[in-house]
Amino acid sequence: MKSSAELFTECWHTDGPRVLAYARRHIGDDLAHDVVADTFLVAWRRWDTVPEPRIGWLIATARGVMRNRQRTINRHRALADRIARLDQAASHDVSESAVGRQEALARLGALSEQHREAVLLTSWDGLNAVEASAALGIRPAAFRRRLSRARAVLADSPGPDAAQPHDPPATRSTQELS
Amino acid sequence: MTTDTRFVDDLRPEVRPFDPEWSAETLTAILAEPAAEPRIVRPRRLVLITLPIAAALALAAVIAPSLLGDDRGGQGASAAATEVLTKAAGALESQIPAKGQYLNVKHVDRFWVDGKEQPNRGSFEDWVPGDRSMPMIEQTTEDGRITDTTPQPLDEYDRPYYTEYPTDPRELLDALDRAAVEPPQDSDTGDRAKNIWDQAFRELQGAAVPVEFKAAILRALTKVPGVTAVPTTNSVGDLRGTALIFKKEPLAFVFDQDSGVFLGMSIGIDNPNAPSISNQTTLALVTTIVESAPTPDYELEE
Repeated sequence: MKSSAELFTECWHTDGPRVLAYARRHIGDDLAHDVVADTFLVAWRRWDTVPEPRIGWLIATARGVMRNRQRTINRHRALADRIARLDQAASHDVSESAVGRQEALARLGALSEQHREAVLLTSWDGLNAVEASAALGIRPAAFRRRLSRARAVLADSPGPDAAQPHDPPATRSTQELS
Repeated sequence: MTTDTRFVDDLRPEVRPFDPEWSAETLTAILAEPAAEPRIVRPRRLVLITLPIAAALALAAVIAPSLLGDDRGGQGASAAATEVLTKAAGALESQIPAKGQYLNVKHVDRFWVDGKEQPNRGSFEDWVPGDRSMPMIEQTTEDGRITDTTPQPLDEYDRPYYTEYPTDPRELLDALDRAAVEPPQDSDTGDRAKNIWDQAFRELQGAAVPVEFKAAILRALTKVPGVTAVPTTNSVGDLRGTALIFKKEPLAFVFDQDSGVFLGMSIGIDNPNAPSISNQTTLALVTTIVESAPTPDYELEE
C-alpha cells in the first residue's frame, strides 16, 4: 500500500501541470507557480479528506487561493485583459493564422465569465461535468445547462470587430470572488 | 458567423510538465510541512449523519458555541455592532420584490494599489425576480457598453440551506462554516470564525441569495464575539457609513448609519486592527426594487 507521501507525489506530477495551466490562464505566468504551490500545500494539509477524482477539488482550491491572493472582487475583467490572458495561456504552436487566432480568442474572451469558465474547464482543462461542477461548486446538471448555453452563445457570437480585441490591455487583474 | 465551436479545442493550451528543478524543490518543501490534524468538522459531520436527528441537533448545540470561542455567557458582537446588524436585517427585509417585480442590484467596485486607484472598465448589474421560478438577468457593461445580458437560472445559485437554514443563530453560523469549506473555497487557515466571516460576505454580496436568508445571517452575526462597529475611513473609497469589522480581518461590511442599508464592503481600508495591505478594494451594492428587467440576449433551454 502506498504511503500518503507517495500518493501525493503522484498527484503532484499528474495533476499539478493541469492546475498550473489553469492558474496561468487566470492569474498569469508570474504568479501561477505560487498558486500551484499554495494549492498543493492545502491539499497536503488535508490529504486525508481530498476527494477523488482530485482534479476538481484542486481546481476549486486553486480558485480559492487566487481569490485570497488578489483579494479583489471584480467578476468581469476587461475584455482585452481576458484575451491577453487567454492568448498567454494558449501560446504554443498553432496552425491558425495570427488573425484567425486572434479572432477565435476574441470570441472566447467576449463570453461572460461564467460561460467562458464552463467552456474552458471542459475543453481546455479536460474536466468532465462532475469534476467541473465540483470545481465551481454547483450541481452537475446545472453545469451541463451552463455549458450548453455557453456553447450556444459562442456559436452565435460575432467576429472580432465587435469584440475589439486590440484594446490596450487593462492594468487590472482580478478574480470572481464567489 | 459560424455554428462550429471546435476552434476552442484547437486553441487548447499545451499542458507543459513542471520545470524539474522547481518541481523537486517545491514538492520537498510541501512534504516537509506537517500534514494537519483532521479537521474537527469532518468527524462531527459524520456523527451528525449517522445519529438520529434529535440527537444530532443536541450535539450541534453543544459543539456550535466552541466554533466562535467561549461565548457561552451570551457574549456576542459589541452593542453598537448588534444595533447595526439588527437594523440592517430589518432594512433588508423591506426590500423583498413581489411577483412581477425585480430586485435590481448594481455592483460597483474600485481598486487601489499602494493608494493609487486602478482603472476599472467593467461593471455588472443583476435583476432578481420576485418569482424565483423565473431566471435572474445579469448584464455586463464594459467601457460604458453593454456586452451581454444573460438569463441565469436561480436554482443554479440555490443552496439547500437558503430555504431550510437553522433558526438558531449558532447553528446557522455552523452551516456557513461548512459552506465555506465544502467544497473547498479558500486556503485552510484553520480559523473557522474567519471562514464564517468570509462566507457571510459571499452570501451578502450575492444578488441571487434570498433576502430572508441574508437577514438571518446578519442576525446570526450578532452572536459572534469580536465583531465591532467603527466609522468608515476617509482615506480611499466612497463607502461612507458604519463599518463592521472582525478582529484583524481586512474585510469589513459597510452599512448606512441611519437606515441600516447594507452598502457593500471594503478590504484593507476600514479595520484599523488589520495588517496593512497594498491592495485595497471597495464594492458598493446599489439595491432597488424595479418593475421590469432588460430583455436577455437569449432564452434558457428547457
